Amino acid sequence: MSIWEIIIVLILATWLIANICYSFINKRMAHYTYRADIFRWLSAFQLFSRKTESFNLSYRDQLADQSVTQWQLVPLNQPWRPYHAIWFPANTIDTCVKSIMDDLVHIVKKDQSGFGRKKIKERFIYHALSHFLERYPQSESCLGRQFRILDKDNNNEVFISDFYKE
Amino acid sequence: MNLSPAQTLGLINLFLVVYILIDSFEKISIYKEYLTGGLLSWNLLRKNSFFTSRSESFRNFIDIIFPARSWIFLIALRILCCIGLFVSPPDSPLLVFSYAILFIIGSLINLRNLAYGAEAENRFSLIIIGALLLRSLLPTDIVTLAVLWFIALQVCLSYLTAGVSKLRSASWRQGNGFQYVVTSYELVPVKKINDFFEEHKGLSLLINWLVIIFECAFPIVLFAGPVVLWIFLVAGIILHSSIAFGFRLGKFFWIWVATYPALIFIAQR
Repeated sequence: MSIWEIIIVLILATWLIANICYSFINKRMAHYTYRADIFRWLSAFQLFSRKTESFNLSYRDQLADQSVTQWQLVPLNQPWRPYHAIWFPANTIDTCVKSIMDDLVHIVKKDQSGFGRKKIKERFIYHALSHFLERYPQSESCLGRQFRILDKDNNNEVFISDFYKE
Repeated sequence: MNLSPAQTLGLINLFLVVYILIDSFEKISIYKEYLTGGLLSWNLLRKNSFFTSRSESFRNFIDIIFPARSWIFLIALRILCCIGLFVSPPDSPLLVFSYAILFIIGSLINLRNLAYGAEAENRFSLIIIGALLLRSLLPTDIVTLAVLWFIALQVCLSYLTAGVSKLRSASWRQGNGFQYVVTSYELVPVKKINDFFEEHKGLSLLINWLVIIFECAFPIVLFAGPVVLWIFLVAGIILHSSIAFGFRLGKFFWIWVATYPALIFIAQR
């Protein structure tokens, strides 16, 4: 074996061992890899293993006369089509929105005291959700928009934002 | 079925290229999301604390490559590199260049998308591309064998991790995991399928345990002989096709099946 062959074999072995460690002690390693593995070369695949919660995202607007509109549900599930098995670009955005909703709910549930509420408003995911909702039309007299996240299973309100204007 | 190393690498390449082409064209088809106002616009993503807490030189660099225009250019370059993989003769510098660019762009896709979580398919594709890049740098017999072993062990690890995490989950252990997933309209938006598995709880229970057994036992394909190998590969193709059609996660199919030729090659030894 040449020196270059040894180096390549060592790189592959290191990558495999790191992935094995990441796969089985994911939680402890994720703390370190989040900032170090910026390109996400390590992976742990747990497809459908965790019971995922489903949430509904809706929004309403506050108008100039201080009245508020009805809650509007944001559709995040495209109707099924056979060709989606091969071509389904719309899934990208739905998945992103679901991912930030999950993260927001996770933070809200961790912060039962409510002291972190202000912090939540400063988070990227809060900003990203409000930014996403800007694509839905609003009247010119709209003073601000509010969004809420409901647990689909029991219709409980998990999070409600303040009225904001982008 | 006996595969030579060249045939094995050719087949892996074929599936890999199909995955990258589908993924790249999907990204281009939603280019509006990369423009100002879109959910994937760099003006929005750069506000993520992961980026704002980085050094100024790092931020200056990503501010050049991540805005819409340069990003779409990189995705187009990714498509060109796929064509490069097809037209370049074996062991040519163009092959090294194509793999290197695909690896760099794939890594940047993960970095750019950190706020929403890196795509699982892209993460897995980097394992294959990275290995093939190393092989293209030094295409000797030893490195080729090491690369094929690496890919085969990584796919075994991916199934084993999924199987073990299902065993750790109470709902899968109780036999409800599959039923929960397949009757959820959120995950499988086909009412007929939801209702069918709601009514056939015995079948759901059977599939629940077949999936766990398939995933946990997958590594035995490496040494259990050709019959077991082909049973697992056919089961894998059925599993990934079902995920593609039911859950609409079609890209998983191409990138996971891309590793199967490596399994065939290693198992036949």
